Amino acid sequence: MIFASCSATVTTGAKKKLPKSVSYTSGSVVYFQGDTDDRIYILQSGRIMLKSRDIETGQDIQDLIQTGEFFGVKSALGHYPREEDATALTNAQVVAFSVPEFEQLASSNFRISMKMLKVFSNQLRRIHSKVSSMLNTLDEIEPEKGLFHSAEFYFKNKKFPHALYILNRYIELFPTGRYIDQVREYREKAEQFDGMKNAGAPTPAASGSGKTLSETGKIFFEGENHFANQRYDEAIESFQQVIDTCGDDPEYKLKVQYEMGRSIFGKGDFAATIRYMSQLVQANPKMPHVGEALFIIGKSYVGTGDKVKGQSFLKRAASVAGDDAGLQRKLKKELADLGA
Amino acid sequence: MSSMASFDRFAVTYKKGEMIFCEYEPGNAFYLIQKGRIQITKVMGNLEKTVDILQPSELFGEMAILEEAARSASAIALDDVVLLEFNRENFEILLKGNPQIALKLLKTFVKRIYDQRRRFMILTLDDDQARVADVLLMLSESKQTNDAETDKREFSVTSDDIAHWAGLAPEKTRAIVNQMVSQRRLEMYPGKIVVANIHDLQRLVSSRRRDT
Repeated sequence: MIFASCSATVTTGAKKKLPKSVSYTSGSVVYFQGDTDDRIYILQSGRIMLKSRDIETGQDIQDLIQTGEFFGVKSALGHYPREEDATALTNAQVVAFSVPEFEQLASSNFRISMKMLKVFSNQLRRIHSKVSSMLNTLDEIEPEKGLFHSAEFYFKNKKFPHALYILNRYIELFPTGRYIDQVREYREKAEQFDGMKNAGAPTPAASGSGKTLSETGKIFFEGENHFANQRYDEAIESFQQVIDTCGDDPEYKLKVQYEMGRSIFGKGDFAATIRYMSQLVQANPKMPHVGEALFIIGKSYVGTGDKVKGQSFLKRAASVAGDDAGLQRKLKKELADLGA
Repeated sequence: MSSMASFDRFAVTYKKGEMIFCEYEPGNAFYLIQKGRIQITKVMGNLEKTVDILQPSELFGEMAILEEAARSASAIALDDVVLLEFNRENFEILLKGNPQIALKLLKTFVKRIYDQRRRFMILTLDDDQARVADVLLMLSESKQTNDAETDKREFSVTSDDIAHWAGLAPEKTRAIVNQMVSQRRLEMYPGKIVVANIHDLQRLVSSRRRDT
């Protein structure tokens, strides 16, 4: 994808280092998809259009670069082929940086790096959640079970310090968890075995300084765990606390709100789910998991007996689900059950 | 690294063999290695698999900047290590004081985005054999020293590794790999898979991609 929101005006100070201003006449091409070169551009005047293909839907995506905005950053920094065609829509003036020149500019301008990090991290979050969603239907292991299995693996392989680290983390994170009795038993034995060679030493989990989750993070994790164990009232309570305290990170908040909607649905309160999820989707039509959210709204309508609306939302979900194979399968089944 | 002195307050030390974090625990910190090496591992079934070995000046755990999601692998100190530890709250301080790290982080994110996109491309294939073939193509693309003289490629992977990347069940993947062996597209050895002709797999994948 493109850095549509990643603009930064080049300051006068930075301008001294600007290496090469290039003019393009209307209709000329700055670069083609598949080209390999390591130049990073910033648009000074005119209009540049980036055209790429969506990897999910195969449809064309067009992004208009704003004055002061960078483009070609990711392929240049990563030494990958260009992912899009860049074409001048009008006569345009751009500045071309080599990677070292760009690095110098970014080093002297903290704001540029921060803005790009924000854009990159959002892109990464999106693609990561798409991959996870494709894999969800296959072999997703919930954290509680995963931690227990890892601890058990290290315990059985006599790697007691590692087992102890994980067992302590389990007890901290899931004090009333499903495997707590077994975990305590393993810990007692692991401490005995480990203590024979390492008497009195604190366990790594107790000494590591970065182990304290932020309070908000901990509550979110509790919420996820309640949800995984179908304790929806507790999950709702946890997610509400996170929403109240998670501050000004809109993406994080959206994620928690989506989890909240799922929990209300899990509880079986269809009317409340419809209200909550519809509001969320209307306010954030491009939110991550929008297909899943529409699916939940559709299922909720079906739950209230309104099959017509249910079907309509399920079809909308199918139209935005793209290549999300897991979701498409679920939708196909639901729609078939409704005779659609 | 001299400019890193002011970040001493973020320094943490771990002894050789200590676990820094474990797969599945929620993460809210990411790390920059100052001294020593870090082993990134995953427990898969009854095996502990080394995913990567990281050197000084490399970053790990950076997904924690995004959200406090469960860690996708464990990090273990291979030597006595010194790390700088950052979280969502304090990493702006780090980046302000050391723009080189911001660049490193940018590049790490670029690589992760490409890796994830490449992985996503595999998962969009409906044909399971094409998925297996595309995993091998992905591995071939990431190999630094592809021998242009020959179409043959060797990978130190198992059928279960391929299953993980392809998002397929291990048994199903084994059956597909066996089928490809009988088609003479692949040769199987303990801990190693040899592709007879990488271009053959490219053709297979691109024909399936056009179909979708």
